[in-house]
Amino acid sequence: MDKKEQEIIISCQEGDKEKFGLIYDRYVKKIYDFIYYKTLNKDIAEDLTSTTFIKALKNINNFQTIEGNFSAWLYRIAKNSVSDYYRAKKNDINIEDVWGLDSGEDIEHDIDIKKKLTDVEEYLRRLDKDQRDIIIMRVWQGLSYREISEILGKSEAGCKMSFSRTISRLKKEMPLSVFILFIIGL
Amino acid sequence: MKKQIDEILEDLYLIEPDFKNHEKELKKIIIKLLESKPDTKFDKNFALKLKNQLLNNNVSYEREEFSFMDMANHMKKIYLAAGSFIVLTLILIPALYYSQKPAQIVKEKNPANRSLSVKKIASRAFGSLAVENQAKSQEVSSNFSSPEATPRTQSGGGSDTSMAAPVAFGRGGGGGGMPAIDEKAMFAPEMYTYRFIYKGDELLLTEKEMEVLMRVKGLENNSDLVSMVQDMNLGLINLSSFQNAKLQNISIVEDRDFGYSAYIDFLEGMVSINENWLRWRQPYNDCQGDEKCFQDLRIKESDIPADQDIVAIADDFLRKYNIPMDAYGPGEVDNNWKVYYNQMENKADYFFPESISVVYPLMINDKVVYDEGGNKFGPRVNVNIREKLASSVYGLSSRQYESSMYETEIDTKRILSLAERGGWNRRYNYYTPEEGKVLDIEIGAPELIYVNMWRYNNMESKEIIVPALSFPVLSVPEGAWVYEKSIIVPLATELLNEIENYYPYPILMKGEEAVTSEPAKETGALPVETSIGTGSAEIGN
Repeated sequence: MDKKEQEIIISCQEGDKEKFGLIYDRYVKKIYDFIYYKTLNKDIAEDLTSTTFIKALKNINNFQTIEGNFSAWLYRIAKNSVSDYYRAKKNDINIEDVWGLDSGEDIEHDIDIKKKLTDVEEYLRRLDKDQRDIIIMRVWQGLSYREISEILGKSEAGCKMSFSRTISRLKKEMPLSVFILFIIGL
Repeated sequence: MKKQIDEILEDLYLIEPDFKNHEKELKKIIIKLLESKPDTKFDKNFALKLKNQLLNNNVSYEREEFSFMDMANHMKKIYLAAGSFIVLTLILIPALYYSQKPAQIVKEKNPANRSLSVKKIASRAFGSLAVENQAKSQEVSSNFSSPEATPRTQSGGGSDTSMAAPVAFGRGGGGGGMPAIDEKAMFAPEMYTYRFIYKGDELLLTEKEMEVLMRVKGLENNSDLVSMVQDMNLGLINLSSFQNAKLQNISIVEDRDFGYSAYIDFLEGMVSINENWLRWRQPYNDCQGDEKCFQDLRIKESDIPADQDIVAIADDFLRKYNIPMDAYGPGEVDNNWKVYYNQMENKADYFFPESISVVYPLMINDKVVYDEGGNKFGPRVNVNIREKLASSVYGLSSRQYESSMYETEIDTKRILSLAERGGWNRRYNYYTPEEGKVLDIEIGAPELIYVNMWRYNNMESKEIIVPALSFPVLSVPEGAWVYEKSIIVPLATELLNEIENYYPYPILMKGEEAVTSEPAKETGALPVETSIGTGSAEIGN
């Protein structure tokens, strides 16, 4: 976390709510995109983005500025919001995002996205949730391995290893054109 | 894009060095796919709206906010610190001091709706809800309109009252929003009888009693302020000779460019804010009768910001002046002016409004409160379109209420018969069928709402909130002058009696004696057959 961001967060914690707007401006699109990639539905993504920032504002006093990475903290809130949403929908199955649903159950996809992702969807569903999260965050969000490790609560080396193995696996299972399609984040 | 392609390739080569043998092929595929990449549909309007909601919502707000409503409590401290000053300076100092100094006192967390409280008291504690002498009361009410609707002397902007006004020109903005030379708008329409035909499912009403709220007027704790003012030596009068003195109102002015004035009414418990017109631009004053100058200065459609930007201007003003808004929902732009604009045949002649209102609807028990016309009720911030600044605020009131149980109607036939003649909001516009052509307007299944009403009895005004049914207007035939979005029927039986017993003003026809309509029969029966749909829908608490 850079020093300026740290100062802004401290100001928020001291009661200067206006400063939260600066934090919000910096992260709203990233968080929205992250949630969108895990839900593939604009309306749901907007609702859960709202939930994420409301929770963040409510709990900002609980964030430790000295030790913590605010970005990772915010992503964790977003990730948990998505998990809560899908667990409430399917409380008999432990799923955390839209990829955990069977393709026949997922009727909330935005239609145009569903068409675009038809080829890669099958392969993403086969991954476990951590592997899928690492792929989404590294490939589609461009996060560093360090940030990913803090969000997921894993080591940086472990995240790199997981990414490499997952890519290798996908490369073997997918045709080349589909693999490229996936890598560049469609 | 080249940088992005190179980064993707490097990523791939690190994982799979063999890919280097297929570089040309990979590049073609990557470029093609990058060009057809869809986005996540990120909506900037959504982001802006969410930001406004976050920054206006006391989710974790832990500051004590200064507000105009609290000013009286602080003035004594300022007086002691400042010594002896003339009255104007004494009044200005706290206004300027608090307008520049951010509040820093930390208090305990504010629960939702900290500015709103409701205290339950005995049934029928407010007396009669109905007005005893309706004609007299109408005359009084027209002379004694809601204080918040009266423009103050220093107001350069318009006011937008939320009093019952079934058809009102210029709603949604003061100082503009008028059709220019459209004949349809300039002359009174042909006299129609409107029948509001119910098209919803069968109603079922079960609550024989429901809560009515009455606002407790007045602002507390001004005794110190009274003493302070009485102790001043103005050299004109000894105010301490006033016995049992009370402060009724004060005015405060910001003496700066685009400054504001605040009028605090201690008796009504209301604050209104207007532009200090002496320090705001008045562009038309420079035209001196020059028609071209006037036309060049007219607001154009392109000058009007998007709704979210208008709300943002209003929100910024409320934040800057620490006006607590936790008793209200998020701001919404009142776009009623567009109704008239869309009807104009020659849109180039339309005078676009100089200011547009943002209404912050009062919330009671998570329900929006409406006014007697069926519009959302609450404080309004008028935004000056030319300057892109808030110009005035009306409807800021203390929100302490008492609640009392009153008898409510469960006879659905009676409710529907009153809805079909226009309900509460059109009770002044009812003509018997013999007087004009009959037009049918369809209304749909109602929802239970709260309606804020002003009641005047014996020179005393009360502000009450009553439960009511709101029947949405489904369709309006060509030529009908019906602009309400819904027909309101209050559920308190005393108010229903008032609709039925209403005596309209005499209708004067040229060359004839005055004709007064006969009062409607007590049953409220219409002279035409009513229609009620099938099915069932229960409406209760």
